[in-house]
Amino acid sequence: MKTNLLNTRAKATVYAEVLLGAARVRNNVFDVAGQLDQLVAAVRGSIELRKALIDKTIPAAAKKGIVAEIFSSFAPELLTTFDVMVDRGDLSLLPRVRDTYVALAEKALGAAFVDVTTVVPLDETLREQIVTKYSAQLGRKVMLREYVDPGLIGGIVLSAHGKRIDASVSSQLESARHVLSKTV
Amino acid sequence: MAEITASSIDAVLRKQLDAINTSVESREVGIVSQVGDGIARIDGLKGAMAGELLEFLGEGNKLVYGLAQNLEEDEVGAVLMGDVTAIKENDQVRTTGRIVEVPSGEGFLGRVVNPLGEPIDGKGAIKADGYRPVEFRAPGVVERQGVNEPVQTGLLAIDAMIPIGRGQRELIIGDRQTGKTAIAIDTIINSRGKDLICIYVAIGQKASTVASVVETLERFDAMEYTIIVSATASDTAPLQYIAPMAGVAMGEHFIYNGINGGPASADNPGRHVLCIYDDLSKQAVAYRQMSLTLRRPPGREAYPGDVFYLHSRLLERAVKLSKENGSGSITALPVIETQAGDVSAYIPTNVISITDGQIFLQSDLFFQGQRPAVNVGISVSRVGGDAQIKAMKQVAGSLRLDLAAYRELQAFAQFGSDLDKATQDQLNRGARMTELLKQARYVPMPVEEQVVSIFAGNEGFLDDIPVTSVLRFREEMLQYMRASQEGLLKTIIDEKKLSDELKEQLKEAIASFKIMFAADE
Repeated sequence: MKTNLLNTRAKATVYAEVLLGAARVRNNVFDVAGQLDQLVAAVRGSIELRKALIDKTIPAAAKKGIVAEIFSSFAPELLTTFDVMVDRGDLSLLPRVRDTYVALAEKALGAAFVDVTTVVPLDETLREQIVTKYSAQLGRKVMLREYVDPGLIGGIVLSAHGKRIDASVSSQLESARHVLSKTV
Repeated sequence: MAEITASSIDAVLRKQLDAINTSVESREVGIVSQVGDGIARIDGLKGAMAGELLEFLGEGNKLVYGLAQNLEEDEVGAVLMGDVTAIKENDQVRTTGRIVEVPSGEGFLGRVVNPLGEPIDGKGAIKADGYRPVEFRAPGVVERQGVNEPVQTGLLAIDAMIPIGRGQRELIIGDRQTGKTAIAIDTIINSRGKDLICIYVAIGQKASTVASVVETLERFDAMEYTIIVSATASDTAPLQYIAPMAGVAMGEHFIYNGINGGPASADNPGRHVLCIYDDLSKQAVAYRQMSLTLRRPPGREAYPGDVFYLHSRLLERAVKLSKENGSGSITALPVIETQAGDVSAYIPTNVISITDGQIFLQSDLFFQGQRPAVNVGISVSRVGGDAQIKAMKQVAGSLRLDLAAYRELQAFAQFGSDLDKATQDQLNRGARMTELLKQARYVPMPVEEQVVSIFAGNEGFLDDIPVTSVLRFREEMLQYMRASQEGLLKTIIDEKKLSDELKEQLKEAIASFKIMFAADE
C-alpha cells in the first residue's frame, strides 16, 4: 500500500512529466523551468492569491481567469497544468512539482540550470567564461538563467542545485558591517 | 597621556578590517515557504544538520538566527530566535555549518545574559574566553568519578538529611509559593568563598522576579561568582527551550578548562559549578509549544514524545569529572513546579526518575510555619551521603528515621492522651527537633554550626526547653559558641569528625551555655 508520502511523490511526478512533455513539444523546456520558479515564489509570497486559489466558493473558471491575468506572460502549457493542480486541490504540491520538473528537464537536456544575477546584463565574453568554468566544475553542459539586480552594487551571484556562490559587493559590505558592529 | 595620531587611528581601523573575511564561498541556501508562531518552514536546505544554526536574511538584510529542528524530505522546520517579525515568506535562509554555541568565561561572572549569551543588564559588552556548544554529549562513565565533595546549601534541614554532593542532580519540587527558589538562592548565597561558580537559569519567569533575584544576590555580594541566564515569560519559546542548555554550556567552560585557561587535567584542575534551572516545567511547556507548532505528534499531556530525552540529556551533563580530567564538577538543581501537589503528572515523574533525589516542598508545611517547608519523609538524596562530612553523618545519621517515627506517633497521639513515658519523650524530642530545623531566608548556617545544633538536640539539651524557645536557644547557643568556643568550631571543620573527646567538650560547652539561657515562660 502506498503511503501518503509516496502518493504525493507520485502525483508530483505525473504533473512534472506532463508539463515536461508539453514543453518539449513546444521546445520550451528551459524557459518553463524559470517560469515555474517565479510561479512558486509568487504563490508563496501572496497570501491573498493562495487564499483565492484554494477557496472552494470561487468557481474554477474565475480561478483560471485570475491565473491567466496574473501570469499572462507564462507559457500556456504551464498555466494549463497549474489550472489542473488548482482544480484538484494540489496547490501544495507546487514546490515539489518544480523540483521534479527541474530534475527531469536537466536530465532531458543533459545540462545543469544555473541562475546568474548581475548588476548589468552579461556580455558575451563574461557569459562564455561563466559557462566554461561551471561546465568544467559540474562536468556537463550549463544553461544560464540571467537576472539583473542593481541592488548587488557590483559582482555576481551564482546559484544552482540549492547552493549559492555570492560574490556581490552588497553582501561583502553587509558582512563587513556585521563584523564591525560585533567588534568589542 | 598618549598622543592620538592619525597613524594610531589608522592602525586600529586596519586591525578591525582585518577581521573581515572577503573570500567567496559556496553556501547552501533555502527559501522561507511559511512563517508564523516563531516557526519557519524552509524550501531547500537539503544538507542541513539537526540542530544546525541557520541564518535568515530578513527585511533590510536583518540577520535573524534559527535552529533547524525538523528535517523532512523536501523542507526543513526551524525555530526562530530573535526578531520573528522581520522574517517573511520568500526570504533567504543559509546554513552555517555549526550548531548553536554560547560564549562563556570569567567575564560573565556577575552578569545577566540572555540564552544567546548577550548581556541584558545594561553593563556593556562581555569579553568571552571561549564558546561552548549548547547541545553537548555528556561525559561517559570512564571520564567520571563518584560524588565525594559536598555542596553546602547552608540549610540545616537539607545539609543534615538530604545532603547534596558536587556533581549530583537534586530536584527541588513543590507547588507554587513553597520556597523552591528560596532554597536555590540560599545555596548561592552560602557558596561564597567555597570555590563554586553558580549559574541561575530563569525560564519563563516574570522579569520582575528575575530582577529581585539579582537584587538579592547583589545585596549578599553573591553576584561576583554568579551568572544569571534569563529567558523571561516574554521571550520566545525557542529561547526558553535553549536557556537551560545555554546555562550548562556556560558552566562547562569552567569544568573543561582549568584555572590557567588551558584544558583541565590532573595538574590544571577544573572548577566547580552549580546550575539551577528555575524551572524545567516551563521549559517543557515551551518545548511543547515549539513541537506542536512544528507539527510533531503530541503525546501524554500534549508533550512531544522526546520530552523525557530533553530533560535526561540536559541533566546527564551534571558531572563529577575524574582526577585525570581535572576533578571539576557541575551540580544540577532543577526546579519543578507541581499543581496541587500532584507529583504523578508527566513532567514531575520524568524528572524525579532522572535525578539523584528530590527535595519535596509542601504548602501545608509552609503555612504551618515549617520553613524551609521540606517534607523529610519523601525527600531523598541518593548519592549525597557520600559527600557529607563525617561529623554531620555522626549527628544526623538517624535524624530522618527519628523524625519519621515522630510523625507516625504524632498521628496516633491525636486520638488520646494516655501515653507512656517513652512515647511522650519521643514526641517531645521530635517536636523540638522539627522546630530546630526551621530557618529564615538568606541566613545560611555553616556546617560546623549545623553539627553543633543537631548535636545539642540529639543529646537532649532541648528536651526541657519550651518548643517556642528552641530557635532562640539555637541562635544564642551559636552566638556563644562563636564568641567563647571558637576553637571547638574550628576543630570540627579541621577534623571533620566528632571524636569522643570533642563530644565531651561540646557537651560541656552547651551545658555551660544552657545555665545562662533564660527560656520563655
